[in-house]
Amino acid sequence: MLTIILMLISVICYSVILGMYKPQAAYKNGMLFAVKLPEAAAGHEELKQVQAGFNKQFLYASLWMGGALVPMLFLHDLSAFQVIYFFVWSAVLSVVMAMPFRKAFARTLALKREHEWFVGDKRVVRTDLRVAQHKNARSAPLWLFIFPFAMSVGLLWWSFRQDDQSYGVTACGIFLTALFFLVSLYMRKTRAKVYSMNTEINLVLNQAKRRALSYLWLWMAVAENVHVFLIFMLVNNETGNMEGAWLAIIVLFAAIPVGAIYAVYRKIQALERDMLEHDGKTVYTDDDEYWVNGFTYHNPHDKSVFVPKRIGMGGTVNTATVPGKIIKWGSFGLIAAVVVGVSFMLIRSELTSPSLAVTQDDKVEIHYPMYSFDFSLADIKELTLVDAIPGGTKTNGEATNQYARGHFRLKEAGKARLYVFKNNPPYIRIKLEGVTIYYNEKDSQQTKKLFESLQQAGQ
Amino acid sequence: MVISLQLDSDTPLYEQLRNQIVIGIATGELEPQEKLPTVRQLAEELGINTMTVNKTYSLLKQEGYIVIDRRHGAKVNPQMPGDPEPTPELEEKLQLIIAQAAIQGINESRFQTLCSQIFSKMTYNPLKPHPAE
Repeated sequence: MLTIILMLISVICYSVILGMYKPQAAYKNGMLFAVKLPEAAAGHEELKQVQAGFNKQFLYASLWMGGALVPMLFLHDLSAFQVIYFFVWSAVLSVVMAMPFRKAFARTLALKREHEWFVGDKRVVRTDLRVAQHKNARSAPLWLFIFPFAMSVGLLWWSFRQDDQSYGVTACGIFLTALFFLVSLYMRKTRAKVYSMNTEINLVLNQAKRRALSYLWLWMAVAENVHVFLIFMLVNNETGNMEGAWLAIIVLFAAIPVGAIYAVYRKIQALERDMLEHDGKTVYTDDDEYWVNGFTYHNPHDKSVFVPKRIGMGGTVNTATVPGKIIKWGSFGLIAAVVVGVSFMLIRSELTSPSLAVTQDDKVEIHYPMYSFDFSLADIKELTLVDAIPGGTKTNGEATNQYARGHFRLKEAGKARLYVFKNNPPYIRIKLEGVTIYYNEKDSQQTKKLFESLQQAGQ
Repeated sequence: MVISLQLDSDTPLYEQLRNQIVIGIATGELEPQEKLPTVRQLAEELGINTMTVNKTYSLLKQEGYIVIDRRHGAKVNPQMPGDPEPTPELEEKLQLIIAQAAIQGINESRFQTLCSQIFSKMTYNPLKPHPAE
């Protein structure tokens, strides 16, 4: 299961990076390798060399990185190391795949300066007075977010009523709705683009773009609430059957937003192309100097924090502003903290095993980082040695191919705490009021001994 | 109308903005009574300081090109204080421009033609005063 998820994420990351860098080698929208060039320069002999060099290096890089995914399959039985390998692979991927592009970008920029292939005005800021006032006139009104907010609050309340630990899942709904709301709010404030000296065209294009995106964020908020609801249903699916179908629906729901974003941006780009083709008053600005290494926007003359990306979809931050710097380095720090934290916890789980002991004052103590538990011997309703654990799902804990530790919800048994090595019977089953505990040692003889000592202590 | 500010020009930004709005009014790109963005809107759109835009607006108001209403914001003055007599300031500015042209070697008739070409673009047409007002 973990192998499938990691492979899926890896393949998605790999395809996204491939889809991001590969098209830069072709002259499109007035740009080659994220450098603005006049059309006449595009076929230049030296540029063709840069393109050929990039294609060759990029092919090698993609083959190597694709090949480097294979060892991950062989780490199937060592979950912790598999995850750490995945982190390392992702980090190397983002560096190695960017290298051919950076080289090509630097060479293209150098050629541009050498041949003075400048396009349009430099160091100019523009605005259209009418667009500045009416850019959001056709956007989705913000109050419409009442609907997704009502959905997520209702879902959270309902999951609280179910008295379950998995309300963390439904809290995600509120978080995502708030995120889309903030994105919409901020998008209203971002600068309008001056496409042309013709005000009509500026007005139509800016309003159409904002309308499409604002409704996109709204529908995404609604769709994500449905998504969260489906995940919640899966987590609480006590019968345990139809798991495949549920999982398929959930994965499908993850694909819908990605597809929707892509479709909306394609539509906007097509509209821009169509309208500007017959305009004749299109405005060109040479802002290459503000796009460091082609992707990072750094413009001290611009006070706006979020700006639309020049290549691809979505936005990026202006790293010359203080909030931009905080967001950039903050997200780096956050990612580093998550990677280090997760790796640490995984290695700790791999190296430590739960321990069970009966204390002097007739208490049973199970020790394991974060999931320790103790109860009195007198509370035990039933103590048996079983050969199988019923199927179920994890609500909060660690589950790999090798072990399951933490809170689970099992068929028949309901709420359960597991401290077991999988497929390694027998298991000690301790029934308490409202919760069942399963425990075993790696060595089955040890498990039997422990069971006997528990039985004696209970008498 | 589209405003373009040159960031590395010798002319300060507030003056560039003021000049372009005045030309916009004269050429008819900005109609009488047309609403202008608020100071904040315009500063955000241009990515410049609000104080810069504020300075331009108060200058334009002082010169009578725009009116600022508490409720409706800034708009192009529907009735400019029209005065067909050239002011001494205008004469002074023209003198400098003609002096530069003369030194450059442009003769009078060439200069006159240029003037009429530019003048023909100035289609400013004030609103007729309402009988009730």
